[in-house]
Amino acid sequence: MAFEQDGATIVLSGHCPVEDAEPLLDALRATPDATVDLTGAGWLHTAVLQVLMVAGPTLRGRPAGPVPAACLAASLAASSAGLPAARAG
Amino acid sequence: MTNALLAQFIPEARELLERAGSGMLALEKAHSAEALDEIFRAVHTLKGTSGLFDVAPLTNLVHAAEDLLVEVRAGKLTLAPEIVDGLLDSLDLVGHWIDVLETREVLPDDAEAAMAGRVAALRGWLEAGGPAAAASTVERQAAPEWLGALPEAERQAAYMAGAPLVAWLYEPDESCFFRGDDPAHLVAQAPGLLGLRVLPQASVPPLETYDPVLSWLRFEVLCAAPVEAVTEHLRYVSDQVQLSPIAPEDLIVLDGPEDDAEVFGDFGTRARGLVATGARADLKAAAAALLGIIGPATRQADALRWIAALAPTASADALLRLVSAIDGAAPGTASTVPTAAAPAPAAAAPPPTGAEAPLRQRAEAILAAQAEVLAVPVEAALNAGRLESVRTVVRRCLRHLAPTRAEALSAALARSGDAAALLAVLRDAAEVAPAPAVAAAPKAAQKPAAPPAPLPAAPPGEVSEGTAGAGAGPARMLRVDQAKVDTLMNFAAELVVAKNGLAYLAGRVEQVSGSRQLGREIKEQYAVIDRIAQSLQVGVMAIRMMPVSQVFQRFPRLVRDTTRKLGKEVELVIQGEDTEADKNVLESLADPLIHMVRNALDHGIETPADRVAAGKPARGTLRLSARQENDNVIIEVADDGKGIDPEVVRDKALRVGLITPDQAAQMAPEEYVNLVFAPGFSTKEQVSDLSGRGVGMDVVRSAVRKAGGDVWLASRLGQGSCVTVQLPLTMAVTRIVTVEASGQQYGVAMDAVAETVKVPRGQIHRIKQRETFVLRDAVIPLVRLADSLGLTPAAGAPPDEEAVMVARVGRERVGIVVDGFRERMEVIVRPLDGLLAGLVGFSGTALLGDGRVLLVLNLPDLV
Repeated sequence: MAFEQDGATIVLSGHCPVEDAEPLLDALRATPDATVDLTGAGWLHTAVLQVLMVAGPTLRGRPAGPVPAACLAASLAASSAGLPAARAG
Repeated sequence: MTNALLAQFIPEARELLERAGSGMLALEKAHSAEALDEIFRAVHTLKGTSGLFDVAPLTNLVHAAEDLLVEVRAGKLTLAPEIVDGLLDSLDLVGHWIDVLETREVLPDDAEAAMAGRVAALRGWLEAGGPAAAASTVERQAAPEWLGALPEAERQAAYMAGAPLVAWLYEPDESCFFRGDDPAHLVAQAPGLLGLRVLPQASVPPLETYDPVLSWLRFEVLCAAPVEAVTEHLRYVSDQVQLSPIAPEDLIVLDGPEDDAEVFGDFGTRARGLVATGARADLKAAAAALLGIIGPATRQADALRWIAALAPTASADALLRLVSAIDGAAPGTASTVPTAAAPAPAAAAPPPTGAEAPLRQRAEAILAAQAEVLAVPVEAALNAGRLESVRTVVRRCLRHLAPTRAEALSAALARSGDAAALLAVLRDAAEVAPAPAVAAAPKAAQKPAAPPAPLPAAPPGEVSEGTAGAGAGPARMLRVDQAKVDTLMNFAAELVVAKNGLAYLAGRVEQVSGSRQLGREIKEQYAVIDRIAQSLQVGVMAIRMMPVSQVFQRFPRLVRDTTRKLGKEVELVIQGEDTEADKNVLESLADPLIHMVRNALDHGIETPADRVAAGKPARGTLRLSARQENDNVIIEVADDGKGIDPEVVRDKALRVGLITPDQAAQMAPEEYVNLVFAPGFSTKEQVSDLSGRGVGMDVVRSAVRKAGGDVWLASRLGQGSCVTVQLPLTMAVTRIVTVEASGQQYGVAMDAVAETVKVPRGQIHRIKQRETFVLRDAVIPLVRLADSLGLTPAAGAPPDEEAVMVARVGRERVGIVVDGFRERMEVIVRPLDGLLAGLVGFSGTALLGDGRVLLVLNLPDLV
């Protein structure tokens, strides 16, 4: 398990495989005002990124690389717009 | 299918694709001019024939493949494995389109985009190999619409990176995580990744009901890399990706409301001057200054930002176009800058006037040929397809014609289905311009590939002639719809059954009228009809018989692709491909075989390094063999890989409770390995610790058993495994024996019956709950048919001797106690359907000669 929860802070560290998506989702459901600390996170699997996008928790730190950044940026846009926008294009 | 011409095209196209595909594989092994010619002919014919239909993407793709082959044939290009991959993939795509054409009569909607990607890849090799670039023949496709939505900074960076650029849209399918895909990772690793936008594919469920294992993202990606590199990177998800090579200019997508302030006019004049004098720094400064005073959301602001970013590097041409977009001057050039609202096709320049006249002449010639085609009387079924293809050709000619003529023709085209009207209009103009038409008509027919003109459609007769000439081998074949043969087969089989009625009749005549003479005559007549019916049945069966090579021929490709993916070296040896079996039997075999071959490659054969370490040659061998044994086809898939450890299988079977320790103690090692076929043996975790042999093997067995066959496995640890499939030669007519239990008659397939014996009651012993008897030193378990079927036992004292039918169930022998044996006969076993479909214990029903319905037992269900 690459994540630990300490009160309202969930710390993701190292490589987070697809298996982490479900426990992370459970944790975020249980803690609606959670802060997710990504400072120590390495690669996040798409499923994990998706959970972060849907739940839209407060993030601390950003994972390296343009792809996670683009995903998480999309999540911010979505949360500010209420619901995720339907497909663009 | 309403279009008879298209109906003919589809099987022909499949055959051509197959021929090209197998030629390609042969060519990769050893360069042979013959194989190359064969492929070329197939592809060329396919291109020519496809021109008859409205399938432009297909024709273009095949055309690109043909161009590549021309270069290979001329020795200017060597067939690297990547090129073969590309060609094979293209043929696969065409094959897929043919499938869609067959069901929907039109190409899938994404055909155009898919074609563009492939064509670009093929052309890429062409350009890399010989500078005789065919770029001019490829119409550049429009850039994807979503391009403008990418962040401007990323687009500007990409513009400066310059060609080659690829824009791709990746929509991973919902269940991709289950296959181990990580789409974000795949995107992050893409070559030359420059721009990216991530969106949800559709609305995402709220957090409460969210399912974390489904993928729902859509990635819009821009890469500065050759299209081949990106294609290669995405090869495993190619069905989820739309790839479009784009030009740097495509990236300049201007968005926002128009601002018609006067200041832009001034800027335009000034900027043109600056571009002309090459004062780029000043231009940048001017753009930046103007940006400071206008609203940032307008179209002009967008263009200004581009100018500011590109001023130091871009070509004068591109800058001038941007300037025009700002002040709206020189509309001719302005229109080439696409706007987000209306992305105009980038290269739609009208043909130069000089080339117009010959084109028009040629178009007229083609139209004259169409008129001739239409004038030939033809049967109604072909007529619809012919008219459709003529209409397509005429439509394509329209833009090369004189305006008045084009108008008249499109009016005629608008009245669909009216061949006479179209013919009249076509003829009309043939008289107006008779000279060029007559002169050019034969020329056009001779050179079907005259480049700039659309492909002229030759009369149908000519096409099939050309195909026959181009195709190798004797063409004395009849292509018949399988349904027709099946109908014939059914009648033949019914005749076989109906003639059985004569035997009953003979018996009844003897009983009722007591005339033995008449009965004998009927029997003689029965013998004659029997002989003819048998010959008829054999003859029809022979039509349905196909060589096993029909199934085997896909394996060279499968083995090649799989081993390339796995990094293994495997030699595929195919034996006995001439062995024939019924088409339905072979079709039922295809999927299980693919499964077994994949398993052998994936988990049986080791990597070259492991093989060398084990003292084996680095190159593994996979042997596919077929042979006929009695009324069965035997197919073997044998590898010389690491084999299966019977101990591991046994432990696993014990762990999941498939067998009890007692049973395990009684089993021989070779029986352990066959446990992999047991349902419930294979679970996901098995893949790693059991060399994955268990995965889906129960599916294989059930498929084979459904077709009336059986499958078993033999393996020696360290030396390899061999899966043997046994299938009946034909499934149409079954020889059965009828047995009686509790006054009811049932049929049992003769294949399953080993022998029939009478067993005295004293020799039947009871071991635990099971009755058994000893047959030639072997203990055989007994099953009472009446009990298994839940019938009340026959009244009266049990007989002194039991009639026992010793049957093979799987590879076991079982004795089945019946009340008596009746007759043997040949019947068509019809599967149970409708309400009876779920009935366990019966494989189907058969109609007897006297009109009764007989239930045919499925022994494995009963034992």
